[in-house]
Parts: sequence; structure tokens; C-alpha cells
Amino acid sequence: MLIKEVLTSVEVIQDPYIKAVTYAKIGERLARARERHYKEAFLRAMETAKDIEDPTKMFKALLSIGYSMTKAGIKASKRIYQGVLEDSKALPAPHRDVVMESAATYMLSLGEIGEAITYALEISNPKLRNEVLLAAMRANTKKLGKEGIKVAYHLRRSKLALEYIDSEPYRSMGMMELIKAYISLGSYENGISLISAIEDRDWARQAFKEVAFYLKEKEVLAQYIDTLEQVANSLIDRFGEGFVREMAFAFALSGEGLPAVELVRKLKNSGDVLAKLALELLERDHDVLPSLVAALDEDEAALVGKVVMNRVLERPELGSREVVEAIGRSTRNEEVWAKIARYYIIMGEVDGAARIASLLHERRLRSVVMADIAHHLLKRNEIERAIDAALEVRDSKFSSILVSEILLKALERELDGKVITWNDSRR
Amino acid sequence: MERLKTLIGPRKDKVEFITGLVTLLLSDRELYSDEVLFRDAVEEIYQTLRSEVLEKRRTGLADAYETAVLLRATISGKPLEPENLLREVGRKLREAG
Repeated sequence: MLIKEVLTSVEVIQDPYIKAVTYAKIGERLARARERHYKEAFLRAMETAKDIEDPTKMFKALLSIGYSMTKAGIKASKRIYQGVLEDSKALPAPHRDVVMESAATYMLSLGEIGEAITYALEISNPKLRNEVLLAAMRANTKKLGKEGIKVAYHLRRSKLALEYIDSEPYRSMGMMELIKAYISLGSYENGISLISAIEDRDWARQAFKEVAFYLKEKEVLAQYIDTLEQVANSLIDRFGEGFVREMAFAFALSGEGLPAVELVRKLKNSGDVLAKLALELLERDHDVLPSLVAALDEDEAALVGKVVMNRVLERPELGSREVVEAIGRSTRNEEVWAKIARYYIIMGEVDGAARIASLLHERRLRSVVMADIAHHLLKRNEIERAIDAALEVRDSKFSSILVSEILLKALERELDGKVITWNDSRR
Repeated sequence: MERLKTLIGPRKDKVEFITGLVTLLLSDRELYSDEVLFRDAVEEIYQTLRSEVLEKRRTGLADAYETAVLLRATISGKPLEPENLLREVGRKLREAG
């Protein structure tokens, strides 16, 4: 009884578009619940739609009804769509484009990618057409990733859509979708080689990163690193030397330090670029910094180590044990080691700092570090250990100041509580 | 010829690229669930908007830039307590003053 009441009550809706769509939605729900009144609901929907004066709105209403019918499992919906495709040809281009876009969108949400492409191709505005084709490609990649069946068929559809995309950046974005499709099917070589065909610089870089990360996640990056290096080189040939840094960063970010360093070495100012690269990684994702540092040679490591440690000492929160240890391993440069010791002292790890100090051969550096350690111990009131450390300081200027401070501190402790300060309010 | 084309072609709008990138991030969450890759993309969006607003004076992008600043901050893992931020603002104002 209620169903009939609901159906008659739809009449009160004034807007014919909303009325028609509402009838269709009611029809869909009834059909799914196997209620016989669904036919009546759809009939009313169709009748109401035909009364809509604005033709664009009328076609959109018909599409919406068709969508509800498909969801309800009614085959007749195909006829409605066919009708809209033909009859809308009378509309001026911009209006028809809106209708065709809407048809394509409905088809995508029904998973009918091929149909969506058909409607997309009817769109006369190239930008809109390319956008819709791209959306179809994206939906297709997702389907492919999820279902993994009828692979060749799905791939063909993506290629077909891409063929019709005729301007940038849509073509480049479309290429990315095709690459993803190949990659998700495990066809890595095909996917990787397609990266070189991307015309747009930014998208080529993004595709490169995506692929590198995908392969890393699948734990096969090492096997394909040579192929990726070839691709990186071909992109650099095309986009110029400025692209070296970007490709190197992509490798470094995916944890592949060696190819990153090898790329940068081609540049004249490779040292500067490596230092900048390292600083950027330190700032952003220092988990991957150790792999870059490990790939450096002695000279590079000393330069990069200095720059990175200076930044870490300025902002210790950027540092981490992994980064600092990696730098320490990469170079025998004692200046860098002294900076590492300083970092350990800031972090309160005196033993770590002392271990490094014991390895230092250069007198001045050793004195600086030992003085630093002695200072820190004094602050922590560990006077005996401070004296031991101070004895290691050979540099007379440092040691004089230190001994003076140690003596005063020792005296203070002895006299603790007995010293009365002038102006002390407790006096 | 292709090289020539890229050399003489007009410098494309970077904003168009990050607009596409945002769509990509939203549509392909699975791939971008990789934290490093996601953070890298966010950094790209942030840096582009920053340079458009501050260097090229495209003030119409200011709102998008502000939101990108927030986005970058929320995924940075840095502490974002109001009091700390307020102190930081104060310190930077003094430095600039």
C-alpha cells in the first residue's frame, strides 16, 4: 500500500527533471526488491522525462533513467542510451558535449569502459574529450588491477583510448595510465620502456618515480635498475642537463644511491649537486640518505659529509643515528668525524663522542672534541670524568680554560650550601 | 626536431601539472600509499604554489597555497602544538623585524 502511495506522491514534485529521476530511482529499488510496481515507476519516469522542455535536461534525465534501469538489471536501458546518442545530434555542440560527457560518466560508473569511450569520442570540445578519455583510461587501469582477467582485452581498450587523446598534457597522463596497466600486469619491461615516450617533462618525471616506487614495493627494483638507468638517460637527452638532478633525485628517493650518484657525476659541478641532493633528502626523507652517502667516493663523501653535518648541527632534530653513522662510514675525513662527535655530544651520548675522539689523529680536532666532552661532563657534574677528558686536551688555550672551569666547579661542590650570595633574599 | 620543439616551446604552466597531480593522488591512492612517494608529490605541489604566489605574485593561488602549507605540515611528522607554533612565529617575526 505504501508503495502505491509513494508512487502517487511523486506527482507533487514540481521540477520535471527531479520528478523523472525520482521515479527512476524508485523503480530501481522496487526492481531490486522484486516488487512488481517497478515497471510502472519506470514508465512514469520515461513519460515525465519526455515532458521536459529544455532538451539538454531531457537527455540528461533519460541518461539517469537508463542508469537506474541498468542497475536494476533491465536490458531496455541500452535502447535508451542508443536513443540519446542519436537524437541528441540535433543539439548545438556545447550542449551535446554536456550530454555525452554525462553519458560517458554513467558508463564509467557502470564499468562499461568501451561504451564510455564511444560517448567520449562524440564530444567535440577537444579538452573535454581528452579529459573524459583519460578518465576512461584511469577506470580501466583500476579494473585491470582489481580483476586481472581478460587482460589483453582491457589493455587494448586503454591503447584505443590513448590513440584518440590528441593533446598535452592529457596524452602524457594517458601514457602514465598505460604504463601503470603494464606494470600492474607484471609486464615491467614494457611499462618501463614506455616512460621514454612521454612528451611532457613533469609527467615523465612523475611516471619515472611511480614506476621506481612500484618496483621497489614489489622488491624487484634491483633487477630493473639498468633498464631504468637507460630510460633516465634517454629522458636527460631529451629534456636537457637540467633533468639530471631530477632523475638523480628520483633514484635517491627510491633508495637507489648508486645510480643517483653515477648520473650526477656527469655534471661539471657534481660536488655541489650531490651536496644539494643530500641536503634535500635530509630535509625531506632522511631514511634514504644513507644509501646515497654509501655510494659516494672519498672526496665526495668528505664534501657531502661536511655540508650535511653542518646542517645537522644547526638543526639536530634533522639528524638520526642512521644518517650520522652512514656519513661516518663513508669518509675518513677527521673534520667530518669531529662534527659527528659534536652531534653525539648534543644528543648527550658522551661515550659515542669519546669513541670517535679516540680515533682522531689530528691534534687540534682531538683537543676540540675532548674539550667539548669535558664541558659536557662538567655540566652533568661528572667532575672526575671531566678531568680525565680534560687531560686529553693538548691544545694549551683550550686546556687552560677547561682546567680553570673544572677547578671552580670542584670548589663549588665542596662549598655547596656554605656560600652565601650577596642580595640573597633568604639572608 | 623533438629537442628543438622542447627548447623553443613555451614554458608550460606548472600549475596545470600540479592540478593533474592532485587528481592523480586522489584517484590512485593505492600507489601513493607509499609515504615517500606521497610526501614527494605533496612537496612538489607545495613548492610550485609557493613559487607561483611569492615569486610570480599570482595572488589568486594564495588560498590553494595556504591549504598546501597545512597539508605539508600535517604529513611532516613535526610537532604542531599551537603554543610551539606561536613561539616559532614570534621568533621569526623578531628575526624579520
